[in-house]
Amino acid sequence: MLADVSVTGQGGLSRRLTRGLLDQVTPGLRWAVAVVLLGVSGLFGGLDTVPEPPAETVAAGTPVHGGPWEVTVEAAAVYRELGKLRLEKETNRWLVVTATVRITAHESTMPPSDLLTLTGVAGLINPTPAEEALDRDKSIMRRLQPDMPERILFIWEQSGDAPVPTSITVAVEQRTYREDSLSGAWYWMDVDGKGEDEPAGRVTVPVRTDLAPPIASPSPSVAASPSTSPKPAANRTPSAGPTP
Amino acid sequence: MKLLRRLGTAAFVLAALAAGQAVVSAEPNLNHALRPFPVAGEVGAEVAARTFTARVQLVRCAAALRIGEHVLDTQGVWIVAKLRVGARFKPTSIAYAAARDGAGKVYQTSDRVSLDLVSGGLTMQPGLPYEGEIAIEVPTASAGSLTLLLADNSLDQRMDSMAEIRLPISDGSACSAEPTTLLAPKAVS
Amino acid sequence: MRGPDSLGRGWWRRNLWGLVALLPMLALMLAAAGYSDLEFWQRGKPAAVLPAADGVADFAGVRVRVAELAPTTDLKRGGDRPFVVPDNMTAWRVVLDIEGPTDPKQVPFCSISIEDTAGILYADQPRELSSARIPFGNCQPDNSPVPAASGRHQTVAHFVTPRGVDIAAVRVFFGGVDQTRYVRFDR
Repeated sequence: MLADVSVTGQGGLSRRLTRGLLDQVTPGLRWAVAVVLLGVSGLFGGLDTVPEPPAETVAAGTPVHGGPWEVTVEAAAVYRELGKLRLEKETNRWLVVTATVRITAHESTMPPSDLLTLTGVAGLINPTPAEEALDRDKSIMRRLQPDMPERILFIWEQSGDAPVPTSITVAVEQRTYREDSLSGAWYWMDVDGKGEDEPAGRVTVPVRTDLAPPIASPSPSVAASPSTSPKPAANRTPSAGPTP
Repeated sequence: MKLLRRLGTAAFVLAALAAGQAVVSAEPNLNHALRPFPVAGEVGAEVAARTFTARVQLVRCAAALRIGEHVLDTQGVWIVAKLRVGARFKPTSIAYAAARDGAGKVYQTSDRVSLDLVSGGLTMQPGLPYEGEIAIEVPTASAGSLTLLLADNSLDQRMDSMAEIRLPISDGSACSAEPTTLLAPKAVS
Repeated sequence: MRGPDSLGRGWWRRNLWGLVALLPMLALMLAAAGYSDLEFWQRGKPAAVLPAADGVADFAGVRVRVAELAPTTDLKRGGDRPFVVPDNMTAWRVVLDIEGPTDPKQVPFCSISIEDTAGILYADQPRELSSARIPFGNCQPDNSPVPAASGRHQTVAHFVTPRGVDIAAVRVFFGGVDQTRYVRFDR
């Protein structure tokens, strides 16, 4: 048998093989070949279910899966004052979206500043939140741990000249786990590499204006510093957290 | 006979293709091929990674941390490990510390607390070790299956050694309900 | 081709030398691939530049000489209070004489480290000396203990090692000028 595929033979290996495979097999075997090919394509993902495009808009309280995170937008509200947070202009107001973020990636993850973007809101001072704080102790949100969902306050500043929205739409950013075309390593990245992905989903949530601020005393991230006993750190930026 | 021979040829080709596929898919992906080199050890024993040594001296768990007047709670438990770490042949800092549970989830040290010892803030000179405590927030159900991971690079731990020390906590629900304090990094004299 | 050829030789016979050569060629291929990687890795390590016989190294546009390398105990805290070096360690002082451009802005920044007899490296500004008042050993004239004059000044760096360690060399690295080489003064 080894001699059969010896390259010393005349006529070219591939041509002989192709002819051998196609011409000589019986019609029944062609079916078998077709099934094998289908199976092979299945091995490379040919039979995988193609995910449905994300649901366009869901109601508050519905989880949105964005790849390494799952976000459940719960509520939105505006406040004139929010503890020690300082508005750029006194006539402005705070717009606070409360959402629970669960890391579904296998390791600790710091959500990007554009995790949530608002549409249908006029007069935002900045498209990314001015503050993102853990509801638990009002400390700045940084790294979140896998499978330890945290309720987060996403805080934007809105111009006082713009109308108070009655309802807003929150878009949840998504990432996909894919191969980096440059390094060949796998990361959570933008779906198409251009950063212009559709959001994982949009959530419409009514805006409350009559709530008491969501609050506690500021609880800075704290330091176990050298040669002294552990004490609050000065490295909390910005230093003001939401307070009553 | 001729047909049999041709079928045999086809079988060889398929076998070669299958072998190629097996080689290609033997490593799940490049991330796996570039994974850190583990240096395993036990609590109480010194583990020598490429650039640093580490020894876990004590492990405990608690429902909350007391840092000065602040009490940091958690929905899971705080794992507190007392470490003794040192540089080996050049000034080194340990900038990555995490706990991996039995399901492969990786919980990095909390940045709700500043931990100089393992956040890259403490550069150690060779032969002059430090002691201190670090805290990691994990789900209660994971507390019984944790391995502490330590590496010197905060951003990229691939293709370098990583200390892996099994943490002997048997049951996360048996952790102390009282807030616990952390020992700050201190030079060992 | 199947079966014996015109000389009556079978397949194994005809391909004998090819088969024999297979293993050495494979070994050669692996060695060549490994050698290029090894060479690339070694080129990535900074190379040592040695001073001339008079102890002066002409490098990165400056002339550098080690004026002092010795253990030190006369360190000060703020307010001139003495800084006591802990028992388990030795503090070292390195003083470099530097001769370079008269324009202080043209003097390149450097970083200094010391190497012990086992090849272990120690860096300037260690945390152990963080409460001692020590200058930056960065080769800049404004950190010089003696007033800079006509392009001459000094730079002073402090280190700590475990007690009992002996220092074999001083390394001066001008990273802004040359990332691939450093000046090495053997003691």
